[in-house]
Amino acid sequence: MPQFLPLLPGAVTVAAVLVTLVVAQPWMAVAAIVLVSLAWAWEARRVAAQLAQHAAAPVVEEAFEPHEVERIELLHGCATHTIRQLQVDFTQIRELIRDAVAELSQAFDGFHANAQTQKSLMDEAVRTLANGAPGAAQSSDGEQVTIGKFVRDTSSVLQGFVDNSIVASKRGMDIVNMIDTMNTQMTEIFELLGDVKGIADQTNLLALNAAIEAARAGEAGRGFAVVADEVRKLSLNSAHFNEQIRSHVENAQATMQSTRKLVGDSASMDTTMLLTHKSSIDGMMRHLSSLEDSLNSLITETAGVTEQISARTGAAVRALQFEDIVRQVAEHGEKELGRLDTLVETGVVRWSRGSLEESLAELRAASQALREMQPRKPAHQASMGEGDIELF
Amino acid sequence: MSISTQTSTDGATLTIRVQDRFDFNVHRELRQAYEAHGKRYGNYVMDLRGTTYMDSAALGMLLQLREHAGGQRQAVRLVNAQPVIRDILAVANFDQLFTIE
Repeated sequence: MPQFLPLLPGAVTVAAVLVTLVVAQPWMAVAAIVLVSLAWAWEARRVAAQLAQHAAAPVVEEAFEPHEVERIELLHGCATHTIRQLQVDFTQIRELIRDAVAELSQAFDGFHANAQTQKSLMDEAVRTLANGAPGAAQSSDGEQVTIGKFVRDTSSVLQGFVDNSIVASKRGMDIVNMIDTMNTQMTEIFELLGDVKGIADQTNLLALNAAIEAARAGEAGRGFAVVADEVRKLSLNSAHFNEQIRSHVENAQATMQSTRKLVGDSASMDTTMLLTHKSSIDGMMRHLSSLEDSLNSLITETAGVTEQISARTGAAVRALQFEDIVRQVAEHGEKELGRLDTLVETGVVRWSRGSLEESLAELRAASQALREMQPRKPAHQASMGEGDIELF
Repeated sequence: MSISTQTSTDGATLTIRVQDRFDFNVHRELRQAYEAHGKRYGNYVMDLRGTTYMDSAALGMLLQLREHAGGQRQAVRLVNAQPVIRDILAVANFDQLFTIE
């Protein structure tokens, strides 16, 4: 088992680099780096402890076998190389995250602004639907024209049309009633005319009798014969006028019948068509009305979604503050790497130059300092305020 | 005869039935029927069970009957109307002018 221990930091480093490459999560990389740092630090302390043991021996140089020396030098080379590489990686990670976060922040800010604009546009659309567009045409009563008002107006206009046609029909029927009454009165005129004709006929007959009586009276009745003749002419004239009046009244009656038919026709509007029109317009109105409703609810819903987008974008922007924490962790890792670098330098390089005592003294001091150092808390969950984003 | 009438036993209510088409052609007959009943009680029932069609002249005639009966909503009752006739009465808003049963 002990012979595998020196290989541990190298293995951890390789595993960490692999994990970093495969998983490609910033905080995973950071965690890996910290792990690698700790592994190397542990190895350095182990080597230092070994060195300290050797320092206790009177002749240090002879305590090491040549292959032992080579092993330490090889380890030193690997450690230094890995530390440099890790430092470069740390720097790159920091820069990559900084740039990406800056870009993301900008994108989210733009997103947020767009969502705000969209929300205000939606609000405007809702207002427009409810109250009509600002500056739009106004109806005569000063109210702004909306779909709802249009529907109500059209319905009431249609009902007004129906009511008017029924009132017109009723008036037409009233006129028909009057014509019928007049017709009855005309019939009475005919009866009267019949009476007048009777009188004329009787007068004619009387005049005829008078003429006969006058002829029988001879010369004395001549004057009376002239009068009887005149009376007979008058009765004939009277019968003639009577006939003329009857004919005129008959014409008037025929005209009234035509009028009655005309008025009746105009009062008789087909209600089937009216029903069809009314129900189709009602259907249209219902459709328009429901269209407006669904449009309203759609816009309201969209406005809600926009608001959510806005809120979530804000949360995303807040979450981007993790960059700060990652930067601090990375900086700490870099510092740890620097410390590890110094330790390796002190423990291996100075020792190989021959100043073993000095090297050991410094290593002891460093080891002491490391022991006394407060173990840094791992970069654990960092609260981002609202949303509580877990970063580690 | 598309018009037939029936007076209730107490003589108060006149029921008028219109068979088939209720239009201008029944005007004279209808008018004679309700004018013969007089205005004393003003209770009229139009039984529309057998009525299959009504034109606007018929609506006008109903308004005339209503006027004749005193102009109250309760003066004339329209009963047993078929669905199509009910639709016509609804379009004309007659439920506000007549008692429809």
